[in-house]
Amino acid sequence: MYDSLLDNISLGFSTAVSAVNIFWCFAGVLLGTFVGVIPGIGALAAISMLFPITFMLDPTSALIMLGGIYYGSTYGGSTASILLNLPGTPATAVTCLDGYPMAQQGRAAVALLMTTVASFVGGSLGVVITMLFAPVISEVALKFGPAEYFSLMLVGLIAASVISSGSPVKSVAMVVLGILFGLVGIDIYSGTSRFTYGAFELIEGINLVALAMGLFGVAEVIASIRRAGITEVDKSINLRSMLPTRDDVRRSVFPLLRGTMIGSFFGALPGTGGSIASFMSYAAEKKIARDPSRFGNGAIEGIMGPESANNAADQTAFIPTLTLGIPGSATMALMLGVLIIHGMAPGPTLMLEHPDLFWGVIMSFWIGNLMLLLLNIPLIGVWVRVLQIPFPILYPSILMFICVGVFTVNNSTFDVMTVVVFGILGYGMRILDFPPAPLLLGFVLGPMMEENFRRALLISRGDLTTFVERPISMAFVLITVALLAWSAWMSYRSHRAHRARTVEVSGSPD
Amino acid sequence: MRDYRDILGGLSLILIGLYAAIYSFVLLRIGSLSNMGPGFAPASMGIILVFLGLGIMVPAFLRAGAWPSGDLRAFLAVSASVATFAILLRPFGLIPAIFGLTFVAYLSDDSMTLLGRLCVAAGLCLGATLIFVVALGVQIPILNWPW
Repeated sequence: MYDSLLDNISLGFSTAVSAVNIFWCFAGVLLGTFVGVIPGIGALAAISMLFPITFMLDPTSALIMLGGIYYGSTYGGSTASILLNLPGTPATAVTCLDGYPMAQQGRAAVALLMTTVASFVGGSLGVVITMLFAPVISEVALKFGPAEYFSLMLVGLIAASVISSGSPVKSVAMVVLGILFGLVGIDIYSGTSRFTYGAFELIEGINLVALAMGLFGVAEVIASIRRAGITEVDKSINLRSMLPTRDDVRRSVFPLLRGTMIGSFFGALPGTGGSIASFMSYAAEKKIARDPSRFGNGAIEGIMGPESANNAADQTAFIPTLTLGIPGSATMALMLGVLIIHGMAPGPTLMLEHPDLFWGVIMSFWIGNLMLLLLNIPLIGVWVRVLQIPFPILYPSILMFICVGVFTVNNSTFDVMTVVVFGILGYGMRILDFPPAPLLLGFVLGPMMEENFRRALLISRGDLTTFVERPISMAFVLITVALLAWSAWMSYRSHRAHRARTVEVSGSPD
Repeated sequence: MRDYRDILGGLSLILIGLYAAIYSFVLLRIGSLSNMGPGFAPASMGIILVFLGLGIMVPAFLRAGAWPSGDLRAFLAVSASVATFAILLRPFGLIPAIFGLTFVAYLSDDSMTLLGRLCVAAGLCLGATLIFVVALGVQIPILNWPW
């Protein structure tokens, strides 16, 4: 299988270095860094805003640009984490823990440079891992039937729900709600309209872009409006002050490599991604450190591990998306949407039928990561200034992009009203502490799951054991059960610990 | 001593789940496992959602929690601004829709002067026209007069 790897790499490279694709790659990473730097709008909001623009591009350029936004935002996200103690994107939240203390010690420039290096190394190694593993996985996936697909998507959704930071029941509930929204529209088997209420705009289903922009864009804007403007930012950041000490470099090497491994693993799992990877990497570094008390006080290991982990995860997240057609995260669900809108069937055959797209996109990640390295080091001063743009100027612009963007998808003001509905839902969910990402994941996977579930049971004549009789499917089902049991046990334990604490407190003479 | 946030959240899920299940049972064919009708998936998802809602609501009766709180003014202003855009775009065109969007959105806070608001709205009109109409060739009328 690997004899053709070199051919594929050269095919991908020639696709990626065409002037058009280099331009879109550059536009993507630049914009990605920009939205990453600004706390409040992340890659998901930016990708849903620019989603309509990609209709005018060919699918390869579209994925290259959206991919650039995706991993570019993770580069930029650490800037806000370090300078403001405010995560630019969720995946860089953990960088605040040691990045901000470094900034307070006057070492902001060193932290910014080193996180860029960590992002570059993590990202590049993540690309290598993607190149090596994607062909193998797509080979295996060619043997998958509907039962395997259903079970795999089930694992992905359950993993996404129970490994996330919040309440697993709430996450699962959002997945189910998302599946319900995904079922709106015509049923392909019987031609029956479901939940359309006579609106012909709903026959083809709820518009993915409108749903994503409402849930993430509009709800995010509402929540960020009261955020105070940033006035004071360290002006002393220049190339000279970025130089790390020899001790910094020595301490960074191993966390960087470990972070990359952890990130690559969690990125490739469907359902998990950069945020979880960066937390896992931080926990691992703290656990194996000789002096854990340095963490939280500006330990450079505490930024190098997570920053390489989240960027590696960004790259390997493309493995399940492009080889199986199963998006590992909400952002990947949008990428998949691009392929579907361009009439391509995502799945194991994608790599065989469109090798130029597959390898072109992967190779563009190299170019994008290199651009980000070159872009970030001299431009850190510029990104610091971006933090000072007052939000009252920014948010009408974000709303305008959302509105015009969603309108252009179908030339439909109905879709713009859909944004309003999902903006209201998204803000309500935020207030009631429900996570929006599982909803989007359920929305995209729901119809695929229904189709595969139905097909599997049609083949087995209604026999549910088909999901455990086929070995690959059984493995997925077992993992799902194990994940659920683990999550139930963890919440039981934390519940007991909580109760023990309450009893202790109420029992103490106060 | 009650966690009203989760009671409210759980209750909403129960109602949505019930609605989806009843809709499917009444209006769609459920079918059987070997030959599922269009109602099978929405009915089962609705029922699962009811149970998950109960799982969120019931424990919330047994613990303390805060009332949900949000920013009502920002919420109303931003939702209304997107709706304004949707309503104005077809009859009046892009520029009036963007002005409507900007000014309704600014009902959410008082930090900008009238001149500032006008500048932002004008800048957005120029930007949107250049990016979407000129560069990307999107078919939207820039200015329309319906009468």
